[in-house]
Amino acid sequence: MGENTSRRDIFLSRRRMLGGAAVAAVTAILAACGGSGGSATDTAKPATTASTAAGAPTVVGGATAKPAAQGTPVVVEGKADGAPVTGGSLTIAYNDVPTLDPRVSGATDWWRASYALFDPLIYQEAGTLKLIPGLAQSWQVSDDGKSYTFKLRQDVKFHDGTPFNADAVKYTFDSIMDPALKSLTAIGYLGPYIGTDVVDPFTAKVNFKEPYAPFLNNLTHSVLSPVSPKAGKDYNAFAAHPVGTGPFMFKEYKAQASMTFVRNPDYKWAPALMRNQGPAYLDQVTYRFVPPGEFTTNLGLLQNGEVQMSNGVAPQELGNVQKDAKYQTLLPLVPGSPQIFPLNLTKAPTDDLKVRQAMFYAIDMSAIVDTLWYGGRKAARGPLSSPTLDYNPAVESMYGYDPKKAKALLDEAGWKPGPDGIRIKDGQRLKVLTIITTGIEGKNAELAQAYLKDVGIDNQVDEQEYAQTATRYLASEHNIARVYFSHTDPVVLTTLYHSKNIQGTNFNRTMKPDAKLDGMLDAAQAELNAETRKQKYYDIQQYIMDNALAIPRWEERVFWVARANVKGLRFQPLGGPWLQDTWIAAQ
Amino acid sequence: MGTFLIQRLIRLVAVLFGVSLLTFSVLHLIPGDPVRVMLGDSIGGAASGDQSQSAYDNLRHQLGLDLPLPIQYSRYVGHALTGDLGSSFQKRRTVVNIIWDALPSTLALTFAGMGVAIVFGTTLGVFAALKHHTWWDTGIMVFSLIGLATPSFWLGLVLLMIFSFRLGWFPVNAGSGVATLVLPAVTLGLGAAGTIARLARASLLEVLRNEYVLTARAKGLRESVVIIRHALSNALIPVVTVVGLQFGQLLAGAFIIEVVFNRRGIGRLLVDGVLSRDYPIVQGVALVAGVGYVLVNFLVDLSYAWLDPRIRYT
Repeated sequence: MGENTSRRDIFLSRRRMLGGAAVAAVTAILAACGGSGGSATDTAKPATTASTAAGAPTVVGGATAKPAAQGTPVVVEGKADGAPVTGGSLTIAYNDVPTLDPRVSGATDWWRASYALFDPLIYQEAGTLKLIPGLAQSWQVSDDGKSYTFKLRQDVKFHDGTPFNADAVKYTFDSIMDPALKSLTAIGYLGPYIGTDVVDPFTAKVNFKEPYAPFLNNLTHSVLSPVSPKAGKDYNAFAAHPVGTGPFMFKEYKAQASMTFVRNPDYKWAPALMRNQGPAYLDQVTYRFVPPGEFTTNLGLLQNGEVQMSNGVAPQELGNVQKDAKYQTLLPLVPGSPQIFPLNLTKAPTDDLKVRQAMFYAIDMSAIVDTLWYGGRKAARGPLSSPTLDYNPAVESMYGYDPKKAKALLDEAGWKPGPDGIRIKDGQRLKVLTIITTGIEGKNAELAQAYLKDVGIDNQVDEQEYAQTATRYLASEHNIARVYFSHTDPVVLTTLYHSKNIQGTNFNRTMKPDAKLDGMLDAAQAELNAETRKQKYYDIQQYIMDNALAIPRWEERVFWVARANVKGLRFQPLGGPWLQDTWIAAQ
Repeated sequence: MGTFLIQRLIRLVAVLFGVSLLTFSVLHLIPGDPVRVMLGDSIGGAASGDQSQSAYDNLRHQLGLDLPLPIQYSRYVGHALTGDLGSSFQKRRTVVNIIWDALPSTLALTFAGMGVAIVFGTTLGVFAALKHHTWWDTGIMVFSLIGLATPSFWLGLVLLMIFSFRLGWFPVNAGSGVATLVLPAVTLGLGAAGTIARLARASLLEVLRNEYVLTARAKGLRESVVIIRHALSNALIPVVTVVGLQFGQLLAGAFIIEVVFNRRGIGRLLVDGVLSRDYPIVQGVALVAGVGYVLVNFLVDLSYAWLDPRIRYT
């Protein structure tokens, strides 16, 4: 899981900030790992009506395009025609990454890239979200849900030549819990971790304080991938030169410039998920760093052939690059929470359910999302994105654009239209405050502002840099905030709606503790039976929508553009490319 | 000379102390919690908010952000005196290391910009002086005024648009190599070239009115010899000192150019550092820039004495 927008928001305004000094208004732009999306490839129709995680995915690729069945998630794949060619080097325009230690990193971009260097214990297939053995050949959950026992592969070596075994698994998890490592993300994924028993050299038993059902899904995330204990000991050295078991080995990192991986010639433990079971085809992969928001730079680099792939092309270019035979556009959906507007339940007037519901009905989010993303994203309709596990399609029809209903609800709540159209109750004007980052986010808020005004709500929008918005959210100054988290597991709802995340992390920006919802979330998290768990998460999604806690905005995608001769591009569940099956064909 | 050096050294320490205190205060005055930014919204935390909370507390503690501000500052100064500028919150590398990586690129840009400024500036200035009272002169002076008045971030974007995107002559994005230096250096140097051109012109015109120039001409020397050997060598003395003074401004300009051209360098470090509230990076860059600025001014002062024997420092 993870949030992609924040890092982008932190940096996106850099050049703008300077330009803005002169232009006054900062017309920032959204960037980075997100891009826009719309269609799966240049030959296939988009299937933007995905609604359930059940059922077989349809593969949409240049060569293998099939019409997407209604209500089926789409797996996005690049063209894979012709015989794979070994050799060649792929250069990708990418965001700079703060640290290279997956145990530490909180950056979506590194999570996506680090799969090339590290194998997780368990892989996960995009679309089906099926678990596939990685470094763990099999696993077993204890009846109480507190222990997970893994049988490990015995033929795996780290890039530094040391063997992979149960000690490495134990070392990796234990070091993540070490305060001195200062883990940002992995430590959260381990949840109530107590320790790991090395049962025998290739059997590891991981123990938790309490039943912990999301653990297997969490394990598929690169932040929990085993690291070489020998190399990992020196935290600083490892952050500069990571050592894993993956299909590529780390070669070099040049600050503010690039990083390079080279093929691991010994790699013969590819998961069944990959078509290529031997070493990778590419000799080398180079990530060329381009700051987020530099849309024009990304497109220029692609046009000049300086890079063959990018995830930073402007959303408004979607139509143009799709038409251009030189490129393929690939837009994998990202599961997790969609982009949402959490509403503050502790501050008037959003403490009133009727007012919140009125806001749901007042805003035509589909129209806004089309405008913002040039048709490249689809509006979200619930607390989870459609490709997430246990997604409940029933909530989709709960709220739609209905300004009449919005006005009726506001009337019921006692807010009557005043002389200037803004509603009044007991001498108070109906005012709500949005605090939001600049760029697409800010534009989204401004468009919503117009809709709210139509039903008589006076909406002030404060657009600020990320660090400032975060401080003001924690101080509960907002009525409308923003947040977004990616994760394949619905446990993401705990992060965004559990009361323990109001203070401290403040990812729950509804601000109000809700004992009932906490109980539902805790129970779902401890539930091991897949069917029961699904029902519990269905109920939670329903509850969140009944109480109008957050207005869904859009489902995230990654907007990848690659030159047409980059073949065999396939994607991770969270939208980064696997590079194991990728090759470069002669042009 | 000894006293002069000691005075300057004391002044340097005072300036650095001021820079560090000011940077520290400003950083803590602007709203924003670095740990919150580090976590982005990206802490795993999925499963357990308790864990997220403890990760948050742990980070604050590990980074020393839970200490009172005066103690944080005195700690920082204490470490800085031993050459330890701390570690970046975001990058998990030492600040010295990070700045050391980025500094050559900034210096290369600054010197290249200076080269552009000197070559363009003196050439145009001298040419304008020789074509005094012609359209050439007026044209060059107008051009230099435009160069002075054009904001570098705007000029940079325009040059990128024309020479990289339209014509494809130069790389779009900074990598390494001389080709990537051309556009940023031109952008950076053009403003300073305007200043130098105006100064070189004025100075040469003044020198040309001197009697020794008249003497040289009277001796029947060729005009080119008169200009190059007799006039220029004297006319350029004020130019040299101004070039020295311009260095500081060019260094500051380089910070902006780096952002415009996505070049690596300490300017980009600084801007990223401010936006992500990476205090050690911002403080480190401010200190290094402070040292550089003071050092260059010091060298300029010394160069006065060298260029003009009448000036002595005691």
